[in-house]
Parts: sequence; structure tokens; C-alpha cells
Amino acid sequence: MAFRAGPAERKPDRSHQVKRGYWIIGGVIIAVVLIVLFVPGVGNYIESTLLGWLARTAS
Amino acid sequence: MNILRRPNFVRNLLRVIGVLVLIPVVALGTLAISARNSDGPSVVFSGGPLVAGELVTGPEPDWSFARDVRTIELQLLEPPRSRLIWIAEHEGKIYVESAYMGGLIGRLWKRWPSQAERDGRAIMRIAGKRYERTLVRIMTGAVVEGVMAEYHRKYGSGLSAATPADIEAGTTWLFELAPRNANLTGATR
Repeated sequence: MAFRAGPAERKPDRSHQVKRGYWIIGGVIIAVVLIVLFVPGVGNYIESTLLGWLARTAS
Repeated sequence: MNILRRPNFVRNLLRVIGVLVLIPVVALGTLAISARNSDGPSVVFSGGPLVAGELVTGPEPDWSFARDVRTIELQLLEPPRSRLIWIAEHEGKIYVESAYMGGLIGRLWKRWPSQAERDGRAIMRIAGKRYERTLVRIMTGAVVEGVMAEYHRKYGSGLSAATPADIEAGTTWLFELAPRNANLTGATR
């Protein structure tokens, strides 16, 4: 049985970075949902912008 | 060292791009779901069935008041989704139109006209009251010119630029909101 010389190579542990990424994405999703639902005017602004784009693109 | 060769930079850049894409997707999804579960539509997204409001039955009302109503809520029975739509009154009858039907985006955006052609049974809510109607597609005839003239008068030629030729060509679809007992479901004339 062959052994590698020297200490065993270890990959850096990135699990905390991955978890942080998930938390950021989850936070962004929750923030966007709450803003769209509860901040007055945001939903209307998004819809009017989308409507303008659709009308320009579809015509 | 080239900045693009740093793995952390590329990873963070992709993360930022992902979040920037995620924000509008989540915002639009939220609005669509919120509208779908509401009694009535939003400006762009179709809403749920029309529930509130007195259901008017009996003889045909005098629709002349619709000349001053900018938008109505129209719901098909199948599928039971509602949308905001312009309305025109002409010679005692009421009409709705759907523009942008000539292109792919328009047809993806506006699927209700095809659905109405298959099953024209509908409920509309106008001034807080609900009426059972049947959508009947109109493609030709003298009435088309009068209805389009009413659309131009009411909404302005800039917003409602369709012509009788567009109706005949199928780039704009015109429907009469006929009484439910007209026995004309999904018909074309």
C-alpha cells in the first residue's frame, strides 16, 4: 500500500461561506417580497414600468 | 495579477449578478401571486374570480354610463381569472378589445382572447356591480368602424390606434359583451 509523503492535503472549509450565501439570498427574497407587498407605490411603479415595456415591445 | 483570475472576484461577481437577477424575478412573482389570489386584477397581472359586488340580472341596462368608465374588470368562467380592460359603448352595446395580437409577445402576454374564443362566458364588474356576459368576437361589419371611433374618442388615437383594418387582419381582437342568454358562446361574426 502506497502512502503519500508529507501531510495530508486538506481543502479549505467553505461551508460557512455557502451558508452565508444562502442567508443573503433568503434575506433578499424576504426583503423584496415585504417591500413589494407593503411599501405603498412600489407595486404600482413596477407594474407601470412593466406595462410600458410590454406595450413598447409588443407593438 | 489579473483581477479576473482571482477565484473570489469571479465568485462574488456571479453572486452579485445572481442577486440582481433575483430581485426583479421575486418582485414580479410576488405581484403575480398577490394578484392571482385577489378579488380582481392588478394593472398587468390577472386576478382571481370577481366575487364582490351585486350580481345584476334582468333586462339589459342602459350602457351609456360606460362611456365615462375608463376600465372594467373582466373575468372568464374558464379559466376563472380576471383582468383590467378598456371598454367602449356603441349604439347601446358594449365592446372590449385586445391589441398586440399580431406578434409573439402580444400573444404570450394576452391569452384571454383565445380563451374567450373557446368559451366566451364571462363576468364583468363595472362601477362595483357584476354582470354575466358572453364574449362574441367581431371581425367585420359596419359596427367595427363605430366602435373603433368610440375607442379613439375615449382613449385618444395615441393609446388606441387600432383601425377596422387591424380588426379584420386579426392584429387587434374585438369582442362584444353580449348578454349571457344570447346563446353565442365563443362565437365569431
